[in-house]
Amino acid sequence: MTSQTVDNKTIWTVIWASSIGTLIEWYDFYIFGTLTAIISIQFFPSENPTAALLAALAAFAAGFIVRPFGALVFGRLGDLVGRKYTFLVTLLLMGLSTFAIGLIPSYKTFAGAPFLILFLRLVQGLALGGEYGGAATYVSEHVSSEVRGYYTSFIQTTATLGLFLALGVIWITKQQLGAEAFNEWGWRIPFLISIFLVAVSVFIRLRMAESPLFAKIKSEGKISANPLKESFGNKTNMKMVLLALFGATAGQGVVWYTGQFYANSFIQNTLKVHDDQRVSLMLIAIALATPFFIVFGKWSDKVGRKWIMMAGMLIAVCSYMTIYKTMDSLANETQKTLVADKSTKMVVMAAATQNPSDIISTTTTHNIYTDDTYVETITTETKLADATQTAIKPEVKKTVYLSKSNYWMMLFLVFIQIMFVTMVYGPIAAFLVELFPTRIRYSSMSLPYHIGNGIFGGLTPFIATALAATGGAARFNGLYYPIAIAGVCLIIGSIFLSNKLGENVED
Amino acid sequence: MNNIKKIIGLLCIVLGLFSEYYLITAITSGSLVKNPEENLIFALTVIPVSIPVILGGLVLFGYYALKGEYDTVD
Repeated sequence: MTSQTVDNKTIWTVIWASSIGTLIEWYDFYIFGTLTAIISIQFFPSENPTAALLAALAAFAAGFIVRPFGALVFGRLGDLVGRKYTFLVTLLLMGLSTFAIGLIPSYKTFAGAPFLILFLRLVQGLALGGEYGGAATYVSEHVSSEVRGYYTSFIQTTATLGLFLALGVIWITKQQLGAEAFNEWGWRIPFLISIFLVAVSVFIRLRMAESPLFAKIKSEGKISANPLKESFGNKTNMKMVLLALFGATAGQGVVWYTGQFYANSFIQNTLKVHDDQRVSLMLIAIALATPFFIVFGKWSDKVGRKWIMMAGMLIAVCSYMTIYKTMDSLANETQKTLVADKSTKMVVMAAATQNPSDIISTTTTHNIYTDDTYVETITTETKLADATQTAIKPEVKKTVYLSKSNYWMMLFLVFIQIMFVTMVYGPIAAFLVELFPTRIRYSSMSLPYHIGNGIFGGLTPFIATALAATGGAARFNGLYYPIAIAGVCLIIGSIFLSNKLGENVED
Repeated sequence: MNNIKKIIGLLCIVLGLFSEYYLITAITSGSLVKNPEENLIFALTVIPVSIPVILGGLVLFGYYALKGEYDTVD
């Protein structure tokens, strides 16, 4: 059986089985990243919340860094044993490690918890490293070149839908339990329910047959004896791996993470927008933009993959600064005019619990601005009775409530960024699959994809947060990282990549 | 076009060497991240990974491009 003869019903079953598993893997991977702040409090002992956040972010990055190793381990397995069984293993590994994270007691009761969390995060990274290449290869080996971009684009929607699902499940759980219970124990629920999703997906995948192209080369005895050596030790193939990385996936990775993770983190940590507003606008923007993965995937079958991806990078590079400065202006009260007669200030003084002679002063201010932006600031100061003691730094908690028009504008700006993502990401599975031969396809396409996304893309929030940590005008410095990476990738991709249509993958 | 590819190859070699040098000096001098604990995490995460990818990958890509290995790819 060749790819040309697979019937329509089989193709949709293949897409469904591949996509649902990949979606769940992304969901599993993102709930950790989305719950970083809570996980850092539960598992990483530190008095300094920034240090705790960075510790968890490091664990987040560690998850991404092991992804390329997962690509090597499972890519090799997929080229030796087959696509079907390999991405069944990755799905099981991901599901079990996610479920286990939900069961680990906090460090207060179990000192080894931070190490276990880190270990499970590494397993998640390994599993994800093997999943995507398998799913993309499996689907593409069932379809012909005229529709490859269209059908593989369904796999491309899963990463964004996984984020959507993660944000949605966390938000619903938090709404049902309340913030206090969610922070205490409710955050475990999104991890625990993963086991049911994985069970369903494993059941579906078990019923699938092996990829027809892989089955064909296996029956003909043409399987690679050493896929890693053939992929990365062979100059002809290594050249294409490097081209895929520096001409496409590195830029795609940073655009992906800037448009979704950095945008989310910027609205949450820099702009201090209220959680309900932030999550709802992210969910709506993702839902509206997701169909465009399929639009651009399908379009790439007609005009080629290259220029759609390059156009996405070009627009992103040219517009990120403007987009983020506009986002800042929507929420930053220092750029707004205060309506003085609508603002209130309330001070509450109370004796400290630990040392009653110390006084804790809580000042709550409610400021309303001319554009209807509402800002609540709670400042907690401890006035020490003993003047010789070192003064405690006041704690300031600010929450910004966007006006209706600013909310929709913010949503639009996030939507635009996700549109860039759909342009660079929609056609990339078909593009990568067409670069490499069947016998080493799983290994060869997985590594550049996961280096591009895992290392260049996955470190975007970490490096950007570090670059912007100094505050003030430097709050936009974090953008220089994705702009530089996408810019270099755009130049290399535009000059070196081919835009040939109808590439044969049956080799 | 092949000459442009060679020039880009040369630039990639320079860029790979420069960005690795910049990254390592910025991290070790603490100018990128001020807090020592944060800087340590940053260094432990970024340096070991960036060396094979940026130094190994980008420089090798540039070398291949400079040698004309991509001249046939259109």
